Amino acid sequence: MALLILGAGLSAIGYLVLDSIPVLVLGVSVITMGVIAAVGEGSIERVELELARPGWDDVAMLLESLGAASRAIYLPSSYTEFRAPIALVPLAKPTPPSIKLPRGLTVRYGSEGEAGLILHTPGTAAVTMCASVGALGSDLGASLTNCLVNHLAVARGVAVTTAESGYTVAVRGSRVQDIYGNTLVRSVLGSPTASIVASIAAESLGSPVIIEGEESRGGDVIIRLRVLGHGP
Amino acid sequence: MVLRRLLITQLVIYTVAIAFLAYLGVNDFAIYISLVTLAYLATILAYSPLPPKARTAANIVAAVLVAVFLYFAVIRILQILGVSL
Repeated sequence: MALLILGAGLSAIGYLVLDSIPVLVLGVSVITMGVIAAVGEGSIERVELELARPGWDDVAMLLESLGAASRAIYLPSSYTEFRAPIALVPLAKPTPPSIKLPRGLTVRYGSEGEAGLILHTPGTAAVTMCASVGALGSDLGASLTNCLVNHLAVARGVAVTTAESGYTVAVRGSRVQDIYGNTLVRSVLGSPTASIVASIAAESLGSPVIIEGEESRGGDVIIRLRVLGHGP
Repeated sequence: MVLRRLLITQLVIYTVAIAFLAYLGVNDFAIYISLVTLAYLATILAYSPLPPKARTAANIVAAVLVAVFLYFAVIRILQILGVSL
């Protein structure tokens, strides 16, 4: 868009003010570049996103076939033996694990033999990337701002307010693409933005977190998080 | 990444070509636009394939530039043939 405006300005100045054909033609050239830049911006990323979508479709089918429909519990890396923040999809009662979870897709945890699925989410990648540069700390607001705004640049701002049983997070101007559409994955993991926020919250607080709800309000995504008790 | 490289190449070629023609004292819009069209088509071919949407935009821009080029070419040919417009 900047190139289009620059090109139009150059053309106008060249034609109207300077009466110079070289400047006019340079403006026209910049306009042609601006058209390609404006239309083509992000198109490779969109293609890559479409190519990666079948993976999430498989996850949706897996969740459907197992009848897993309850909200995922986002766990910090300290809850797993492999030291990665993950989402635990409980197949029965949504209770946080009382043991450190081993690596694998399915896991049994808790005293009553609860079972669940271990999923690596967009939040897993976000936390890994942010933790590697020291953008995460014990303060939730600072961690979210450092990670989402300053390091990953996938949002324009984050505001955190304390609620009765957790936190309400408002993400302003989220640029996270919708990577799994409106499938069962969304109702289990939440939107990609909410998933990332929940993972960062779990890691920052060191406690399991559940997304209680989310809504879009204007350009903001409002996410309500519930913090569960401490586990292992 | 391919788009960025294409745009940088185009900008360099346009600037050099237009500056050179201006240095030579050329003041004919048709010559400038012909050279820009040539440079545009060459760079688009050099950096093909472009991403889907960018390809569509590039084709539309190419069609417009070639149409403008053809307009001036036809005018010039008619002038050479002595046909008065």
